[in-house]
Amino acid sequence: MRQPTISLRRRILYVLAAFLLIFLSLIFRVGWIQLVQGAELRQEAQQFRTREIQIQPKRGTVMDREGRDLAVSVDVDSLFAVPTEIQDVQQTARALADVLEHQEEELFDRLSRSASFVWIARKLNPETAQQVRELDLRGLHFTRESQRVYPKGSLASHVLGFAGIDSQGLEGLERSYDEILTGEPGKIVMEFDAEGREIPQAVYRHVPSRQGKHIYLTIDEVIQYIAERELSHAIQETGAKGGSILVMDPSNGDVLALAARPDYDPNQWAEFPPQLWRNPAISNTEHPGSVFKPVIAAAALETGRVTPETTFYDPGYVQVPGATIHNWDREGLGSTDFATGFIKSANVIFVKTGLRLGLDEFYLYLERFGLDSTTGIALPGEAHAIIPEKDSAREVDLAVMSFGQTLSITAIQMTTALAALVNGGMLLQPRLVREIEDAETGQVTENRTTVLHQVVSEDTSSTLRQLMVNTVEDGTGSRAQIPGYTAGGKTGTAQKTVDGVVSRDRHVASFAGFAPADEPAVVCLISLDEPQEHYYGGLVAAPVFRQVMKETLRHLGIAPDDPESLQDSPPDVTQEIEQYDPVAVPQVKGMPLDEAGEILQEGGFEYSVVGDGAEVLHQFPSSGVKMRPGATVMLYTEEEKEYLEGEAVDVPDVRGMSLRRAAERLNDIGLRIQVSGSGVVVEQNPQPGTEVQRGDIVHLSLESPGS
Amino acid sequence: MKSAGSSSRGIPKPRSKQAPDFILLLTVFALVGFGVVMVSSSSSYSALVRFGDSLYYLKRQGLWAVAGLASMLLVQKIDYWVFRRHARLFLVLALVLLALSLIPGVGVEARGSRRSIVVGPLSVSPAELVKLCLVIYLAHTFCRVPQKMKSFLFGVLPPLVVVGAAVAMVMLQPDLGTALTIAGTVLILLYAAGARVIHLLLLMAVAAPAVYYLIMAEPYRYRRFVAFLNPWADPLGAGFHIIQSLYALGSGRLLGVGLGGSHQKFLHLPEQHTDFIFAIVGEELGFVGSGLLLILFLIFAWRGFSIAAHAPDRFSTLLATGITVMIVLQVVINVGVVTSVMPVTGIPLPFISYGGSSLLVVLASAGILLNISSYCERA
Repeated sequence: MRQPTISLRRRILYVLAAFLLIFLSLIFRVGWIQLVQGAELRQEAQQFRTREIQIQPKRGTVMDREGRDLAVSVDVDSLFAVPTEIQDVQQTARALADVLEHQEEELFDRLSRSASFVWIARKLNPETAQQVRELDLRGLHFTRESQRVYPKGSLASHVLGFAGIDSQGLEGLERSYDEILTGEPGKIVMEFDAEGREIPQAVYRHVPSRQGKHIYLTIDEVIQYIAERELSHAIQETGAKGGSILVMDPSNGDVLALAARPDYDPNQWAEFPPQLWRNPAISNTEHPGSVFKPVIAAAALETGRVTPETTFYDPGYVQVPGATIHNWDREGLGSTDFATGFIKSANVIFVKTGLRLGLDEFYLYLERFGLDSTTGIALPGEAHAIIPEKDSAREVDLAVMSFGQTLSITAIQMTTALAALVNGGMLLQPRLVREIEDAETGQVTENRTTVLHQVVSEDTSSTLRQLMVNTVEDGTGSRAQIPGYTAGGKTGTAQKTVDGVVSRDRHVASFAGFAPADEPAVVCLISLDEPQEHYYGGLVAAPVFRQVMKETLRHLGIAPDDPESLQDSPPDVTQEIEQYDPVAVPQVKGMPLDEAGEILQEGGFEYSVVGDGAEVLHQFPSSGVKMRPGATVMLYTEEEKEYLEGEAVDVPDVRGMSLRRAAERLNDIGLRIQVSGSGVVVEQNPQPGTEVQRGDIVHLSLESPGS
Repeated sequence: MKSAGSSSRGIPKPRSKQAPDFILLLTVFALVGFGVVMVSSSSSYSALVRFGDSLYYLKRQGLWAVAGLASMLLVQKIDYWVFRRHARLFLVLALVLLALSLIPGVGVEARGSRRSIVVGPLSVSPAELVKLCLVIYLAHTFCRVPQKMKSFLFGVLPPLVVVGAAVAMVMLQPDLGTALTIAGTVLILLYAAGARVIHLLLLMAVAAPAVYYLIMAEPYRYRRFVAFLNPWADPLGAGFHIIQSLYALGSGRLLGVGLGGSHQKFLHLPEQHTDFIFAIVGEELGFVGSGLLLILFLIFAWRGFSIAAHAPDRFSTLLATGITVMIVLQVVINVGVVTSVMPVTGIPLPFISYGGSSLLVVLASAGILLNISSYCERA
């Protein structure tokens, strides 16, 4: 055996020395990580391991002006357990299994989990929650989650809009007041293991949420109900494909009712085609027709171009460069005064009046009445008026605009202008929200009416009221007479422009009026889209005005100014409303059209047919959805919008679009949507251009612009 | 010092036997105890999740520790020259084990590499045993003629051919970490045995392109290889593992979050009770604990090399050196990986990491060291 040599020993010593150095540097390295970088790494690690669970705040309630609920968030109880607090897991699991009708073993597993928080059951119905409470078990707790409910069904659906699954405002007031209604979310911070399980010794932090504010609308539920009922009735009578009724208090611009058809049930908004979410009174522009004439009259009177006594010669037509314009009945009034021309709604006299005003003053008054832009009402999607550029407007344009054609405005604009015409000449911004109440402090903030400016003088306003009263008493608006009250108004029958051509057979019949005559408490605009057969505003819209006003004035307690004409007292609407509970829509899919119609009518529903088929292929909403009687059920009889499921399509780019436009776009090619967030679409999944199959779901992420 | 009656045929007459190195014995017991406690703490959650029994790994590691310590005390009784007599047998054993692990059905594939073989109900990782066998064989080969070591052709090359075959088989598994440990051990052993430094440098210069090729051949290996340079460049991919390791270490700071208090062990840190157990030590016991553990290893290294330096003959010196280097080099690589100064290679921390066969072999190796120590001239 050889002795280890000296050199061998020396080399071993070198190796030891090398390892010593390496170990010292490793110790230094470990120390650096633990002592120098430690604090930062510990924080990062904690962030990595924990997740925040957002607690949705309870969304504020939307009420009518009297505090009646229109949109509420219902607290639903969700049950969770803190396993460490439970004494007898087996017994607890057994007791819960009975009440919740869950598997006992599964509950036992959950309850014996070593975590600080375990969901047991979410969104329980109240009875079950009560039963669990009565068990009085240790370690079980309730937390509240909220669900949006529209207790009145489709009533005022176009005003209210709707909120999505995460209680985010998507349409209507829910969208425009989303921030106020939402409140501030709270959070639970929890720690998870790498596979998503909650873990013992977890970091647990709870920040409570702050409830959203309550909103009191200017809408009066009773008047809204009256308007909706009468609108449904009128549509049924006239065969119109849609329409709207606006009721406003001219003294403060309060919108008392805004009814529109077709409508939808916000409780089941996703069941309805997105086209129906559109609020026609705000988002559609139409030629106003003769209801626009009071605006021209006011401008001409205010500027002194005419007086009621100014004499005109009306041969039944008038020639302007490029056109010959006739009266609606092609009859001439001969030599007559302006007042008579107004009452008889003579186009010839208004053309002449408009020409006397000239382009400058015409456009000036459009602007002063707020008819050249928008009203700024607190609803999303308000359309801008469409008016020819002043610089390019010809004499013929001025002539035609003078009786309400060529230019297009919204119903809310017309109503707002009407309010200014009769309230002494003051233009107000239409008000939809009266008060905002802080749900936590009870503090109420009034949302004051925005007074814009004096448009015409008190005198002009008064003259115009008289002219409109005369129109109802002796002229085209005789069917608008309200028993017990002196009403004023103006009829309108506008020819629609369809695909850029003025249509001969498609009309908008309208009536704009107010009552009582001397101190108007209510103005009301009725407009019916494409009534069949009879389409004159005086014939089809004026009676609707009468019905709505009769009950509205009585409901508001306005003293009759013409008691002699008072007939029998109308029935009390309030009682009628109480009996007006939502009813489930019957199943009519697959039935012949006439049979389906009968069933729906028996059930108190109206229906609207899409397509020329004889059999109902689809219905909206589907059976079982609860709707108020009188609501419209859409019946589809043609397959044109139905696609073979599974057929391949490319996902269009809908980024930057509003929810409604995006939904329409995707709906058109047979794709369904899922929504998160609110505002405009910022992200979509799948990406544009991806090939998917019809019937697939496209997820849309929405964000408010600017946030 | 010349020992009386030494024979050129290598049948030594036993010199007077003393008590084994007490400090080494104590250190080994301390390390094993430390290891069992840390396996218990770091594995409790994953054991609960995987097997529904938080003590699953502890029970097994405890048994292996008892078996390992028994085998250490047993091996300590076997005089070291017995190993020399059977050195070639150990080489054959090493090569057979490696070959077996490559045979499908015998070698068990886990995470894309065949590192263990099935023996009845047990799955055994032969890497440790292979290393020990190679060390015994090399100590034997290098000890014959010291002068030969000066010659590249006759001293350095022949054992390299044999070791090269073993390393090649390890790379086929593939197990880069073990291959590196073997290569490193051989290199240091060559140096200790008296090889010329220039030869060793030459050897490294030749091996470098091969290592480079091996790393670049597999894209995953390259990504893993460079991830330690900046783990945050790919935090959810190649850098994930190392970031979780740094999170654990950093969270410990000076005093640690307390034994059993690790949060990274909730499956965030993969291999929390095996290759990355050092990170959990750092998290739970802080710099105090991780520093103490490194110092224990340093004591082990000191005693190991000291035994080598004072061993009675050239074979025992080289054997003690080889065993010490084999264990300490693994510690360096393991801690280097955990602290992100080295690329991630799957190497357990000797004495500490969960793994029965590894613990058994490492403790048996310690037994050999202890046996040699009882023949040492006392320093």
